[in-house]
Amino acid sequence: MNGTLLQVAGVATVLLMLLFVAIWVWVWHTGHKPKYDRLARMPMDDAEDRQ
Amino acid sequence: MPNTETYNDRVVRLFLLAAAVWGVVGMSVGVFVAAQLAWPALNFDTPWLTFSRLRPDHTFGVIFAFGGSALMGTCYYVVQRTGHTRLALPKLATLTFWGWQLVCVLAMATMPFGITQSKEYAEPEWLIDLLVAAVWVSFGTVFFATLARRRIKHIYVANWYYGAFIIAVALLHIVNNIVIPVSLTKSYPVYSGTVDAMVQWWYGHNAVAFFLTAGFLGMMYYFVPRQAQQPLWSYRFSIVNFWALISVYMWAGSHHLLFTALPDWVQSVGMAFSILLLMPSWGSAANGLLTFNGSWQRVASDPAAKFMVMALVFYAAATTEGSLMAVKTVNSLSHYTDWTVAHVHSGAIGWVAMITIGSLYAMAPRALGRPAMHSKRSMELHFWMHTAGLILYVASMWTAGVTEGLMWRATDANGALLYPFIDSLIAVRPFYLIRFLGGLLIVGGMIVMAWNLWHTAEDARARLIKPIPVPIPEPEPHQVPAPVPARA
Repeated sequence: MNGTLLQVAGVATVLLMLLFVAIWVWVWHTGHKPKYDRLARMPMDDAEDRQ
Repeated sequence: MPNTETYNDRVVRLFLLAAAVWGVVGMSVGVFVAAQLAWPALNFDTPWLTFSRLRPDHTFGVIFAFGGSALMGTCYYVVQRTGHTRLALPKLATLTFWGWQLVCVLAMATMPFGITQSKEYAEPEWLIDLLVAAVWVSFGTVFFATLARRRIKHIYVANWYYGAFIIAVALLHIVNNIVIPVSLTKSYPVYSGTVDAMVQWWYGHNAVAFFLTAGFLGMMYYFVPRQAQQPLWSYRFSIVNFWALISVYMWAGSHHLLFTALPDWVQSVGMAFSILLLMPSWGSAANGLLTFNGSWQRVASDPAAKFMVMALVFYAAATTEGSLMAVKTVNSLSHYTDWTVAHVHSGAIGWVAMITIGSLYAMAPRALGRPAMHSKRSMELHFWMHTAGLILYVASMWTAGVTEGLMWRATDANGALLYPFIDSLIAVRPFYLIRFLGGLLIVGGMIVMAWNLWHTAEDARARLIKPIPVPIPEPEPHQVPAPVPARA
């Protein structure tokens, strides 16, 4: 690969790594905890929906 | 007005039945071709009965017919339950069932007669490929239309995996099958040489990634907490693993072409991304296994949970092995040997088949209007037959693969090869016999499952099933899209 392409690839890699870290931060935001706790239980409702 | 909306489980039942039938058919063909490797006379000097013609029937039968039917059936089941809504476009959903069965029958009926593109996992010719594309777009339309009418604002993580599976497989299928037809039964790819090889293995590896991993992780993220009766260990972790998996997997395909004409840096990219894949793979396996924390006693008494736990263990093991085999030093020993066959089957029989069987046992009673499967003892029998068969299969092929690798590269002081190729074939023949026995046990287990499902479906055959009402939740504030009202 030529030098310009390598630089673009390097910048893209750093940006993608930052994006991934941002996803971690967003997901671990404390405001999401109650919603995620509720969602984690969702499959268990299946056993109760038979009437 | 009372709620009279019910889940559409009819199409789920159809896919459940198809999965059981294709499971027996696809694996039986696998046992037959395994027998041919042990006893070559079983070719009967008949072209369409040779290993090379039947092997694609085995792979297509187990991956796309068995796995595909199970994925589509569970996908329709899960998207309704996690969205608290009825399946959208019911006629199109039923059409996807018949369309997919037609695809499987056409593909498996034409490949033994030499009508093939000769691309691994993409063998069917262009007319069947067009039909696959039409069915797949219809499947995606039904799935995303159902998501759009959900009554739960957040899209449950299993649907993220199912969604990625649908989108990525469409992309892979179309790009890898761009061909120039020269007759109704023959076409040539627009790619050539190394580019053709790279496109094929970008497709082939991502068929493993998005068909055999993402789709089945969707199954796992719903049915494991359901069967463990425990909340998912970490919902947050499941989201991080999702983004990591779909970001990394696409770049690892070139590890199938190590030591070939592919540029060396492309091979190294594939190797590096394969190592990175350990993180999301272990992450999802750990998330699933830790979900059983607090309910391990269920594993002792519940065969469906046993299948799921074993599937997660083999998911972690097979992905670890895959990452290691992508390292050039290891690959120089394993490539073209039966070690690759062992690796593929520890993923296919250990992870894919076991999470599928566990999920089908979990889903079947609900979809078939029964409190439980017809026979718990036969579920136990199935688990032990499958596990014993799996261990016989992978242990024998691991041993055969390492034996071949060592014999093929053994040289004397002058650099000449120590063993002629035929010696390595003679050395591994006993392991081919053990592999055949393992396969017999696995198919036997699938027949036990089919028998059990047949009896569990007695009410369904007598049309005695009462549809399950959809629980209608209160709308969440500012919910977009607005939930649809309940309907008859």
